[in-house]
Amino acid sequence: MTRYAPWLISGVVVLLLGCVTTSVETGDAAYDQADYATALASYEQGAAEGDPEAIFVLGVMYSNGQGVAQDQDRAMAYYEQAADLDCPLSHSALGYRYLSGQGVEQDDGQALFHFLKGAMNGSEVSMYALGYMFEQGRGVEADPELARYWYDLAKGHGFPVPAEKLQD
Amino acid sequence: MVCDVSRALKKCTGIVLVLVAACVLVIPAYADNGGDTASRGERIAHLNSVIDFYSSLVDGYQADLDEINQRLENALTQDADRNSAAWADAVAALRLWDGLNNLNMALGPMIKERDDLITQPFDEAIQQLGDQNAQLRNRMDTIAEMLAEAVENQSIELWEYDAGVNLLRFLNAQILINNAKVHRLTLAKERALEGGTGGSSDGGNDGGNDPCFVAGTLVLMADGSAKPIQDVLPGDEVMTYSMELDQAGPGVVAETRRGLEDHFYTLGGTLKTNDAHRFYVQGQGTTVAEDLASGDMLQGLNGPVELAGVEYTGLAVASADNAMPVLAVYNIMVEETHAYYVALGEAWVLVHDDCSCDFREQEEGAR
Repeated sequence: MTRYAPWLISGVVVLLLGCVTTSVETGDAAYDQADYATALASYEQGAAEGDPEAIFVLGVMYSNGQGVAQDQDRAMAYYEQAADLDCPLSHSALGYRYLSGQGVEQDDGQALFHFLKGAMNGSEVSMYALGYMFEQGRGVEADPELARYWYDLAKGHGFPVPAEKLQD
Repeated sequence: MVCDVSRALKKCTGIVLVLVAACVLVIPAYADNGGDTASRGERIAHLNSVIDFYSSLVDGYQADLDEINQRLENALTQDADRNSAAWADAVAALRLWDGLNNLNMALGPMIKERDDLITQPFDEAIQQLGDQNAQLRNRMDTIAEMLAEAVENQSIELWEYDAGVNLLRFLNAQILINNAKVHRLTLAKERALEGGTGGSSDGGNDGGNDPCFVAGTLVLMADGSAKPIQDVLPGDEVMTYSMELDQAGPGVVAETRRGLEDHFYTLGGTLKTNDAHRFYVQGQGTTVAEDLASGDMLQGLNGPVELAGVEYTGLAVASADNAMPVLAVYNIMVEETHAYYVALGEAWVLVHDDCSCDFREQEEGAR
């Protein structure tokens, strides 16, 4: 876990230095300031209004234990709720859970389903994950051509796909 | 006729002398007066005064040249036996033309220096945002690589994966915000160049018909219902107002716009708009939000609506408490009439669908 500390810390520093986002404005602004109590209230309000991103970030907060006690079951529930609204980020988070078997019973079919839904809704991580699943034959018969298709698509969407994945 | 041509020739010779003197003596003196000691604004003002003066000189002599050419043409067509005088006049006219060209060429570097000075702060700010975006993209790449590794190895904990996905979302949003700022700065730069002034490097207003109203702003539909502006779609019918017919009626939404804004005016305590959106003020045509004042009588659906107050929530406030978010803003384009009604408290007030165009001509034409 510690090897990822630098990007997490630097990411938070970037946010604290003034990154402001727009998706669920008030909540995001508070989240930026690490004012998780305000962020939580705003996202809960957004969630009550049916905003998929607000619901997704609630899942992140419970997953990370930001302003609340860490609770992966609750995070999972929020992700599923947001995924029902076709939130691509939630599909990615669910896909990873099913792929790795963390917090849920490992299920490549479910992982494939969620990564596919995430990819169809614009998640580059999900596109990359689909490339991996078709490359490795996880949840589906291995298919190098389809793997390459998803890797190319992920690359086209700005995801830094390793060069070896794109070699003929 | 001879007398006319002679006068023209004398006049022409005098003009050429002035132009030559300007090219040789005056303009180099201005051009050499570098901006090392003067401030950028002073230098721009200085260059503008010189450019304006010599441009007016060129324009003035252009009129003289036209007059000379006309006289020359008259001499050639009406008195074919005076070819020598006509040719002398032609040579003089050509010399004048050459002098004007030289003056224009001498003005070129000055205009370039002024334009460079005007665009410099905008270009620097745009460059800064570009650099920031490059850094953000690098950071996104780092996080994406971590996520790719997680997919490959299923090696990291859930919260790390989730935090990574959320960070990607934040950073991507920041890039989009920066792109919007670059767009605004580019428009502001173009406006500053058109105006020949230093302008401001903060991007000014959005310009064009960029979005102006925050989400939740209610728009009056043609059937009398209210719809949040973010839900209005092309093809919807909104209530509009025809200047020609002098009455309200249905209008078709041609297009909708969405963008980002970070400074606002709140009108009557409820209606949040950017500085450049135009409101119809009774008897005054359209007025941008930043020029509205408490007590103004806005054009409402059922008669004048008194504006109860105008409050600015801008970047200065944002930097003071560091809490003002950038908000998504919306605008709709209405076919033909280019106007629609938005809710101001209990009333409906008429707004134009464009934030920055000069509508005076349209409105006067309509009247």
